[in-house]
Amino acid sequence: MTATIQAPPAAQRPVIAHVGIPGLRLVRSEIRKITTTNAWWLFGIASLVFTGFALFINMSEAAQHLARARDTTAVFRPGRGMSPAEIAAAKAEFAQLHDLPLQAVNAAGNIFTSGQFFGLLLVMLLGTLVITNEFQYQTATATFLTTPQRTRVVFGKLLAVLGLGFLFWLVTRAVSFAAGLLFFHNIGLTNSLGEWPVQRAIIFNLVAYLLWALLGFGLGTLINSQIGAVVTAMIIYLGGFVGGMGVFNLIRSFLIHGDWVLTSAVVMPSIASQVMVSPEKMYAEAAPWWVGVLVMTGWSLIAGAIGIALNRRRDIT
Amino acid sequence: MADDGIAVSGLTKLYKNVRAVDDLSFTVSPGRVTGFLGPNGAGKTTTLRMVLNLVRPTAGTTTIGGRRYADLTDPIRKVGALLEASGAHRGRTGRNHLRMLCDAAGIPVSRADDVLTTVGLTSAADRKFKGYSLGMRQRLGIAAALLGDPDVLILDEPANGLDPEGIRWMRDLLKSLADEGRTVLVSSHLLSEMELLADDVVIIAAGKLVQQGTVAEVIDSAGGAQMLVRTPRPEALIAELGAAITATRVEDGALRIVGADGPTIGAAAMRVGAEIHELTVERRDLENVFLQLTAGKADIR
Ligand SMILES: Nc1ncnc2c1ncn2[C@@H]1O[C@H](COP(=O)(O)OP(=O)(O)O)[C@@H](O)[C@H]1O
Ligand SMILES: [Mg+2]
Repeated sequence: MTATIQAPPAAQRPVIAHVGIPGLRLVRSEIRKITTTNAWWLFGIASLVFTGFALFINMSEAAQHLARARDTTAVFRPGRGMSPAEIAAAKAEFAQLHDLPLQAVNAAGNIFTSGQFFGLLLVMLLGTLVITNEFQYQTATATFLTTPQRTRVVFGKLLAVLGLGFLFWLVTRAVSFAAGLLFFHNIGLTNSLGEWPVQRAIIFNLVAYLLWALLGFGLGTLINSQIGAVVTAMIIYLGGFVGGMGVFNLIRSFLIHGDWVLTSAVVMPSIASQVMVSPEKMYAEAAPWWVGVLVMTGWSLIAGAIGIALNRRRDIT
Repeated sequence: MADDGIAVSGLTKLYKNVRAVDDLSFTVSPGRVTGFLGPNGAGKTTTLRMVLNLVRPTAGTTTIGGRRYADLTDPIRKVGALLEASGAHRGRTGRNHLRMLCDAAGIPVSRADDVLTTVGLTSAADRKFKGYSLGMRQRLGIAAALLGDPDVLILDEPANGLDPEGIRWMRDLLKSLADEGRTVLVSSHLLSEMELLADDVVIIAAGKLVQQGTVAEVIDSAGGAQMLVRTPRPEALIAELGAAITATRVEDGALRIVGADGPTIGAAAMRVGAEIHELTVERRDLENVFLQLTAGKADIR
């Protein structure tokens, strides 16, 4: 080393305190990242709008069903030329439609979980964006400079995403809770909140919010391209609802003749999610609800683990 | 070296078909500004990103104060970095960008306001990043680098997009940071600016080290000073000076002599009776030397 003249005494350097709990600093940073962009408001408003829209539809439908169930003048009349078996089935259905307690419980389950369809899609996309935004806006450099342990960054984001999923659930459920109470009060019926099927629907609604946020997050970790990850997420979510069962029905009819084919449709996240939230079997061959939970968690873990492994080696340029 | 120096050793990075950095070794001392120079595509950005653990080296090691970047506890308090293409979210304000970095580093968010003042960006702090000019983005990047009051600064082309006043501000800032004993490594392709700013330089071309040393050493290594001589009897003067020098004729008839200083040339001219009409020292500058050193290696790869 070359001889240098002694540097002048160091100038007054600022004293910078250490703040925050080490494990939670990253979560806090992630939450600030989300709340300081428009995505936050857009997703929040979209989620409220969809919930309001779904509430309106579910309430109109419930009002009709409940009015029919309350109509005590209706009597069962079998159709002409029906076989005894058909008559028995039709009679059972009639009894269900006019079973007021049952209809009230169904209505409550629908109303108190209103907006689930789009709410789940939104938290999934939010989970994806939390990761892909870093690459879309080249903030990954700044993020990984502050925290070179990349896996730690991923886990910080994961906690933030689960917190967000919970928050979205809480807010939309608060809205539908208020609307639902008002609805049942107005038509003079019990709100059925004491009934297990209704409680189950609300609890599994939360589980679904968390699992879809998790799956979106796993996808974002795996596919860092914003557009690629978002399109994949939409296909998995919407495609599963639209075409999911159809594909498995075709396989069952033309390729493999076994009921287990229909049961295995649960590997598709959308089917898994529906299997999980349905109080009764979604279809005769449907897998039990906990298989749905396992499938959703499994996909998230696989995508997330591969994503983390790739992320550790990736060059940030 | 138990200080805050940077050491790069045998560093190599292979992209698919390019050796972006090729067995590169150099050191950077604290208390000085070190210029990291090289033509476009020489591998400067890739090297700095490897030092900062953003790009995985194919081979070799880099340390800061004896430790790898990934092993530093609270790296932001030790090393501040500004890199090309280190962005911010378009829709986030400058202040919020800095605050989220504070959160992650466990630094009080009030520090964001301090560094915004340092870089003169306070009035634009609550505007969104997408509305920032290139120079403002660069200042925000420098603010981010200063957040943890680091002992080591690593800046990739920090003068990019700055106006002349901004460049001057940057020069003063970096010099004062080095005077406080910090390590400052700055990459640039602006050679005249580097000559004003840097104490030491590391010159690379095509991923390889070309020269390292103080600015004066590097200039001297390229052959020292040259003299410009005007005389009616050039041949006699060259013959008298002998084989120790090289002389070339400039277009307007003057001689450019390397290898002899003013007194030597004056004495020789007197001995052979050659009239001297002009005798000037032509100082070589960094740009001149840089072009000579990197000649033929500067192709865009
Ligand atoms: N991500 C990358 N993939 C492939 N080649 C790259 C990548 N990044 C840089 N290079 C190549 O590596 C070489 C060095 O680039 P760089 O480090 O950016 O040079 P500099 O900063 O000195 O201009 C160039 O030839 C460039 O094309
Ligand atoms: Mg570069």
